Amino acid sequence: MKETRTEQAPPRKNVPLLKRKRFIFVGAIVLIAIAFVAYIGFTKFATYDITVSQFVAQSGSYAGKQVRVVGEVVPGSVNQDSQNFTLSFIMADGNTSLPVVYQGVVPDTFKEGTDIVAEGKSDQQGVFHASQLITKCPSKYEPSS
Amino acid sequence: MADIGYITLVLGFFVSICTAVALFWGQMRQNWKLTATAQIGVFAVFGLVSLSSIVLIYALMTHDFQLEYVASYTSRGMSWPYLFSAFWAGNAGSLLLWGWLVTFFTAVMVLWRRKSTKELLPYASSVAMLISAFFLLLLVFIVNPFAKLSVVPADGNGLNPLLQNPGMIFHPPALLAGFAALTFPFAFAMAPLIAKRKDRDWLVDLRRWTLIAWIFLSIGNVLGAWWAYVELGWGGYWGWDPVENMSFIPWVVTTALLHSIILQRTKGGNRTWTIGLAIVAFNLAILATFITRTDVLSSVHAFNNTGIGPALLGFIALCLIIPLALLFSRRNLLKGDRKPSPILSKENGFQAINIIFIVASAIVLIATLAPLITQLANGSKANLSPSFYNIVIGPIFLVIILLIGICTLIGWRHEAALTLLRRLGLPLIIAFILGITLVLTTSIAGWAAVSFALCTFAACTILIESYRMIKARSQARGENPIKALAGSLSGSRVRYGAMVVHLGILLIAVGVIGSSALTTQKNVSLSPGQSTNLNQYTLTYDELQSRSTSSTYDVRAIVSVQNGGQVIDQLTPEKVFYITSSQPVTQVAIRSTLREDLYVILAGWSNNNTAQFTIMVRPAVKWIWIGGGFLMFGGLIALWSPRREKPETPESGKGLPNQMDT
Repeated sequence: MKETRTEQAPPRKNVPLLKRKRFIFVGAIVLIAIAFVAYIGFTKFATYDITVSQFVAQSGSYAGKQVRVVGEVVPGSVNQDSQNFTLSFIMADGNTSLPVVYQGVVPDTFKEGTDIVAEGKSDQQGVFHASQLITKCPSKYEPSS
Repeated sequence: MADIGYITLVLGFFVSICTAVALFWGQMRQNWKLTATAQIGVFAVFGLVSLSSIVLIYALMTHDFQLEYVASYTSRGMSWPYLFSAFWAGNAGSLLLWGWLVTFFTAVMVLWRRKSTKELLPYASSVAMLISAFFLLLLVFIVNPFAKLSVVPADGNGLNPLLQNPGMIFHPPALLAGFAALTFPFAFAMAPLIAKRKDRDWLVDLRRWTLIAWIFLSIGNVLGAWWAYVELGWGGYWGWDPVENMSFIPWVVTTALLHSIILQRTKGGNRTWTIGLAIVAFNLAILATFITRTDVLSSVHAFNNTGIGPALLGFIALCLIIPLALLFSRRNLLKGDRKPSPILSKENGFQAINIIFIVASAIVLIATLAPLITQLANGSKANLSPSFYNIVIGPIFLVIILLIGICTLIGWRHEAALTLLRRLGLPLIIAFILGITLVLTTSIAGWAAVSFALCTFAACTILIESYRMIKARSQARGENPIKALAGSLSGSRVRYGAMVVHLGILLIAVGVIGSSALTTQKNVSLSPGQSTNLNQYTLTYDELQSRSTSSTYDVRAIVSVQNGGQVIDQLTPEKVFYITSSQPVTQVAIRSTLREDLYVILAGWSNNNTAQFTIMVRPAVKWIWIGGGFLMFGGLIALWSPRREKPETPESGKGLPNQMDT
């Protein structure tokens, strides 16, 4: 095996240009790959955060689309049918409100009067079917008030 | 008492600034006396910040509710491990821990010096001192952990019940230690630039600290996943949430950095890339802190604005601009002396894997910041769902596994395609047979089967390679296999460490693939005495019990598990209500075996004692935790390398397997 110890090898003068070309080539491929994936991501997997009032105002354009609606759980509106794993409540943002139905395990941090994010779609009757409830859990980095 | 804590922080800040300047100046002017004196400053800062930490811990332990921090995160009813863990439960305390860790590691770095990089040490510790000064600055001026309340409350708020889990004791310190340790690859990447060193000897120090950071980041990430799995009660361990992504990205970049360092140490080459990665990894840790402590992104974890955002952003700007400018001005020092290598070689394998790591982290970073990017672009916040990450990152990791397999058996420098193919033959055949068997005899098919086959392939290459190394040694020295194993282990710890780590990655991959592709789940409502089936298990809901203690009230369901007519276990999923907190805490019940986890959540109950359960069978989850152990163990083996380190010679990397082939 004719291994030359590379540490002693003198720098070759013709390499940089070749290397630079290869570097640019690989870099371009990588950037294009990232851009492609990001494009696919934004067109296919993105859900937009909107408030209840935005959602209700443009319910036509959001019909059948996966969205994330942000709002407050109206106190007294929560109705939990635990037999069927169904939770129904009203989400509000100012004066606009939206009935929401959710099936599944209710997160521990779900409470009346708190802000939540409901991800899902609305049906023709205007009821929002949430597939996921994101509650804001009191974090460890909460400033004490 | 608390005043001492604050005063030591202020003193620590000034001493660290002075030490940094003195170290830098002393080394620059070759004033050895000044440098030697300044090194005492490193220990002084460590002592001061330690004292400050002890004061905070003492205040937490003795319920000194005059301190806002103590009143916010502890209460009288808490047991001492959680009182202690409150040290890092809040923003101020966790920053203090981070700062303390930086000063501690700096002291270790000064003690753990190496002769050949003696002149770099003052520069590296100067950089580290400046970074610890930044944390002390935050603590002194923005988030003082010793801030006092005007009225002393009778009892504190207590720690959020969700955080009262053993995970709280180990996960945050491990992750913070990883972030803090990333300071040192950064410092050791700056030092040769400042000193204009042309050699490569400092790569040994760089590797050491990168490995330490990597071990802590691995532990932190795996523990975080474990904690989420056992505590949060949603049956998952990873949700591609911003907070998870921002601790995952530094881990990936640190992994890339490690591979880059190994490539440089063995084969020379351009060091700009390595130094660039060290700079980026450090800044990602600070960026992670910025994301998790300001309210720029919405997440399951509520991130509240803690007021340190602008300071962190400014710090990132400084830590990017100055080093990158320095790197640019010194670019001629770092030029590689490596000949272009043929396509089929370990060098190119390493480079490919490096690029893949960077692409993966760039994608995760862009996706995590997507809400911010789109908000700036068109005013609406776009969130990418976890399925995006799974679809994109999943295949990338399969490629990484394939490369683990190939790179283990490929030699440095030249490799003939035919030799390589012959060497990869056996693992390929085994993997192929396993894949076919899985498809034919089980319900596993498609991507899951391909992925399992890939993992088997990579595992086989690692086992074959270690077998070769031992056999070669036993033949060369006439030792018996056990002695050869021991000798080979102590002789090439770095290689074996890497193998153990790679096996750990494969175990984690098997766990992730198994649990994400093959999970079965159902929601049921049962009356006492009723049963339900899931896969081979029969679960019988026996009764609902409740009990109360001084601080909690908990409701638990007794569920007996049968398999093939025999009772094999009794599970008690429960919900705990803390008197101090209005939210319940779900305690899941898990029956964990190597084959699969039976995961039972008590979702709710009705007045007639009818209870609702979510039941899951998640295969191979335990492999993830075992794999995490492998990562830590393998990392430690690699860290505990021989005192006089030789670069990996061609003999151990390639020559022996070749001889045995022919």
